Amino acid sequence: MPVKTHPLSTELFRQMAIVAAVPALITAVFFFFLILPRLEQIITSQQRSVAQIIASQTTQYIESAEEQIRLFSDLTLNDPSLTPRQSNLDAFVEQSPYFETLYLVDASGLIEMIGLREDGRPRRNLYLGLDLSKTTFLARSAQDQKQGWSDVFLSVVTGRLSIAYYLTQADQKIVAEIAIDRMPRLSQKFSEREFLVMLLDQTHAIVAHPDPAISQQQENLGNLPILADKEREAVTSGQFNWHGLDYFGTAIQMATPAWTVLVAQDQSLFSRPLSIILKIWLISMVITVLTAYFVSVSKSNDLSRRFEALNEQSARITAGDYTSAPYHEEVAEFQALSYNMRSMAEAIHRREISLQQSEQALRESNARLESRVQERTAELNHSNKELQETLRTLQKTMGQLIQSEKMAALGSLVAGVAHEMNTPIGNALMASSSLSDFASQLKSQLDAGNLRKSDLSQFLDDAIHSTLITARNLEKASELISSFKQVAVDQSSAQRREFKLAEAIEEILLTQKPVLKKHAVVVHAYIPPDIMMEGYPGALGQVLANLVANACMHAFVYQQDRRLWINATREDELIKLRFSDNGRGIPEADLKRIFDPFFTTRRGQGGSGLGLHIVHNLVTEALGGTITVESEPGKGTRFLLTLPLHSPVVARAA
Amino acid sequence: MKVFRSLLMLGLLSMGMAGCEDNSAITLGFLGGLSGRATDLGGTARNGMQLAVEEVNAKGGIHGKSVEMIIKDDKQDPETARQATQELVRAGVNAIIGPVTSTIAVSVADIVNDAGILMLGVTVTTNELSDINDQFIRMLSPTSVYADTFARYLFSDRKIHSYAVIYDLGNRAYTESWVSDFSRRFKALGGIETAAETFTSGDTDSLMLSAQKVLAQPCDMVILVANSVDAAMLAKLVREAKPDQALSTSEWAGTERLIELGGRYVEGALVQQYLDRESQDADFQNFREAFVRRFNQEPGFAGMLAYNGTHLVLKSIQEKGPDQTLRDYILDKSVFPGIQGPTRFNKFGDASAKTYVTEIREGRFKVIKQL
Repeated sequence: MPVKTHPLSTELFRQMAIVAAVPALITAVFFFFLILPRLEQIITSQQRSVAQIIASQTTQYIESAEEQIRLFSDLTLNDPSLTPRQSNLDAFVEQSPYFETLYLVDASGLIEMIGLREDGRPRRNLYLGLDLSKTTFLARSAQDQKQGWSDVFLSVVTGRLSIAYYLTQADQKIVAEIAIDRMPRLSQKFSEREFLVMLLDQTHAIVAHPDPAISQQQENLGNLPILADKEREAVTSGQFNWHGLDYFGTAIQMATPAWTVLVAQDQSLFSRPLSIILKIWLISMVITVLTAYFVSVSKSNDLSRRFEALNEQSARITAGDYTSAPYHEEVAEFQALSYNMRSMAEAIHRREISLQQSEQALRESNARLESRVQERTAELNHSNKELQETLRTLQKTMGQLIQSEKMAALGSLVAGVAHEMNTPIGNALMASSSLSDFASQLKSQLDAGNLRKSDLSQFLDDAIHSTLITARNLEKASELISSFKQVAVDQSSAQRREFKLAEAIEEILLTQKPVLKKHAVVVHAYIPPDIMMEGYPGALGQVLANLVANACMHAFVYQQDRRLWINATREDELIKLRFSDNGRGIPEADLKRIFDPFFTTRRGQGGSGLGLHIVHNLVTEALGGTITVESEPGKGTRFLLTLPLHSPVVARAA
Repeated sequence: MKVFRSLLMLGLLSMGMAGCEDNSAITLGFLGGLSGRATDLGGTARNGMQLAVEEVNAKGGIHGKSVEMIIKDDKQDPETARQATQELVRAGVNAIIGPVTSTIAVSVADIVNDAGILMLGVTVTTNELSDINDQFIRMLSPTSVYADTFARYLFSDRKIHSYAVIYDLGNRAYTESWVSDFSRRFKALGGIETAAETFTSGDTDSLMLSAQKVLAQPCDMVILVANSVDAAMLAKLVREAKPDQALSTSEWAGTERLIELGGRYVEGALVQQYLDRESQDADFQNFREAFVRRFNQEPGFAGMLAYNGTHLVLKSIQEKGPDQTLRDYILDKSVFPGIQGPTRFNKFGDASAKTYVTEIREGRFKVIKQL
C-alpha cells in the first residue's frame, strides 16, 4: 500500500501545534473547573454581604421607627392623666425623623385625630373622619394582629408611597406612616458600586430601586426565578432577566418587615471579564499556532536545505560519483551523516567492484554449465530412447512369459489328466486283454473237444469279473474326463457362472494332484459346502494353482512335513479364504515385493517372477477382492484373500 | 456552577455575535400613569399586560421569539408622556399598550401616527379620538356611548331628575367628554344640572372647594368624574355634609381603591363598570386567580382590558401577513376573544365593551344592571 507523504513543514507544524495546544487546553480546563466555580462563590458572597448590610440597615431603620412609635404610645395614650391632643401629634410628626403623619383611628375605622407637618395642616379637615375600615391592613388588625406593618400603599395624606405601622391600644389604633421614597437612597448608595440593589415588599413589588421613578411604579417581580419559589430559603442566588437585561442576583428574605433585599449585577459585568479572559486565551492560542507555524516553516526550510545538500550528495553517489566530497555542516548529526554517506559510497564502490568480478566468474561458469547441460540432455535423450526400447522389449517378453506360464499351467494340467487317466484305462485294458486270453483258451478247449463243464463255468465267472472291472474303470475315466473338461473350460473361457466354492476348490486341487504328489505335500481343505459364489471359477483356479505352485517351489525346501491349509469362512457378503503353509516363511525384506512383477528368488532356476503378480492381478481385478500376506521366517506363510460373493462384472484380464 | 457555564457560553456567543445586532425580539411598550394618584389604573393595566406577556412567553413566545416589555411612566403629564412615547418609538417597539387616561392619549396620538406604530389605548374613552382612521385604537368606546347610557339609566330607571357634577381637569380629555355627553343626554331627557364644578387632581384645596360649591344647592345625585382616590375624598366631603346624598361615579373611579379609601362614605354609590367582578365565568375566574396570585391585587377593569388587549396584539403580530400593518390586520379581523366576552373593533379601531351599573354595598361592587 502506498504511504501518503506530506512535507516536512506540515509534520513539524503538527508536532509543534500539539505541543502548544496541550498546555493551553489544560489551562482552559483548569479555568473552567476550578476558577469559574470559585468566581461564582466570590460573587455570590459579595452580593450576599451587600444584601445583608442593606437588610440590617433597613431592619434597623424600621425597628427604631417602631420603637419610637411604641414609646410615643406609652407616653401619651397609656397614661390616663394625659389626653392626647392634636398638638401632641403634630409635634411628634414634626420631630420624628421617620414618620410623615400619625393618626388615631377609632373603633369604627374613622380618623379621629391626625398629626401633620406644617404644610399639611390646612387640609386637616379633609383627613379627619376618613373611613379606613376597608383598608387591608386595618381590616387585618381588626381580626387578630394588634400591631404590624402594612403593605406599601399610596398615602392619601402625603401622596407618597408609604408603609404604615399600626398599634392597637384599647379600642383605638395608632397608625403612623413612613414615606418609603427615602429608601431608594440606600439602594442608590450601594448601586454606585456595580450593584443593583432593590427592596421588594412582601408581595415582591418594588419598594426601592436606585431609579426613584421605578421605585414609584411598584412593579411586581414575583415571577423572577429566584423569587418565584414560595418555599425558598432565606438566601437564594440565581440568574434572571429583567427589563431585557440579564442579571445575576442574590435575594435575602428580611424578618421585619417581611421584605426582600435583591442585590443583582448586570451579567455583562462578569461576562465581560470572562469574555476578555476568553479573548486573551483565544488570541494566545492564535499566536501560539502562528508561532508554531512560522517556527516550523523556518525550521523546515533550514532542515530542507541540509537535506537538500545530503540529497545532492546521495544523488551523486547514485549516479556513481563515489568520490564526492563530504558536505560541511555545523550540526554534528548532519556532518556525521554526510561523512557516513561518504564512507558508504566508498564501501558501495568496493562492493561493486568485487560484485563485478564475481559476476564475471559467474557468467563463465554459467556458460560451462550450459554446455554441460546440453551434453547431458543429449545423453539422457539417448538413454531414454534405449530405455523405451528396453521397456517395449520387456513388455513383449512379459507377454511371452505370461503366455508360456499359461502354457506351462496347461502342460501340467495335461500331465495331470494323463496321469489320472492312466490307471483306470490301464486297468480296463488289462481286464479286457485277460478276458480275451480267457476266451482264446476256451475256444482251443472247445476245438480240442476237452471242454468241460467246469471249464466253461470258470470262464463265465472270469468273463463277468473282467467286464465288471473294465466297465468300472471306464466309468471312472469318464468321470475324470468330464471333471477335467470343466476345469479346462473355466481356465480357457473366462466364463462367469454360479458355482459352489467347495466343489470348485476340490476340482482345482484334483488338477494339482500330480504337483502335490511330486512334492509330497498334504493339503487340508476345509470349505463349508454351502457357499455359493458367482464369478469366474477359472480365475480362482489359476490363483490357487499359482499359490500351490509357489508353495511347492519356495516353501518346502528343507523339510519333510509339508502341509497346506485351505479354509474359507463367510462374513456377510464376503468370503475370507485363507491359504497357509508350514514352510520356511518369507524374509521381511522380500515380503513387500512378492507381488511385484518379475520378483523372484529363483532367477535362473526356472522362476519367472510372475506367479504371485498374476495372483495379485486376478484377485484384485477379476475377483474384485484383496490379497494380503503375512509371514515370518520359520513360521510359515499365510495368504488372506477377501472376496466378494459376487465378483464384479469385468472382462477378465490376463 | 450552571449559571457560570451558561455565562461562559454567553461570553462565547457575544464574541461570536459581536457586530450583528439582534433586533429579532418582539418588544411591546407600555405607557401609563405609574406614580401619583392614578397609579391604581396604570399599575393594574401594566400588571394585566405583564401577565399576558408572561403567559405568551411561557408558551414559547411569538414565532419562537420571546416578548419583552419596555415600561414607561407618563406621570399623568402630557409632556412626560410625549417624551416617553418618543423613547418607545426610538426603541423600535412593535406596538404600545396604553395609555390609561384620555388626556395622555390625545397628547401622544400624533407621535404614533407619524411613526406608524400601533397604540392600543386601554381605558381611553375621550370623544376627541373617536372615528379617526389612525394608529390609535382602543379597548373601549368613546365616552359618548357610556355617558349616554348612564344618563338614560339614571333618568329612567332611578328617576333622578337633577344632578350636580364634579370633574377633574387633570384628565380633561376624558372628564369633559364624559360630562358634556352626559349632560347633553340628561338634559335632553328633561333633567336639570344644578352644578358643574371642577378641580385639579393633586390640588387638595380646589378639591375641597368644589365639594363645598356642589353642596350649595340640593340635587338628586352628585356625580363624581374623577380618579378613585379623588372620588373617595369627594365622597367623604359630600357625605360628611349630607350623609344621605345620592352619589355616583363614572367608570374611571371604579377601582378597588375607591372602596378602600371611601369606606362608609361610598356605600350606596352607583358606579359604572366595565367588568363584572362577580362573574362566575370560568375564564374570568381563572384570570382573576392568576392575577391575584401574581400581583397580590384584584385585576380591576384596567387589568382585564390591558390583559385582553395585550393578548390580541400579540396574537395579531403572530398571525398577520408580512405586508400587512398590525393595525390593518386587527381592524380586518375585528373580533378577538377575551375575558368577559369578545372584543369587537369598529372600522376606526374603537372597541365596544359591556358596561354594568354597580352599587357599592358592604364594601363590594354589586352589579345591578348591565347596560
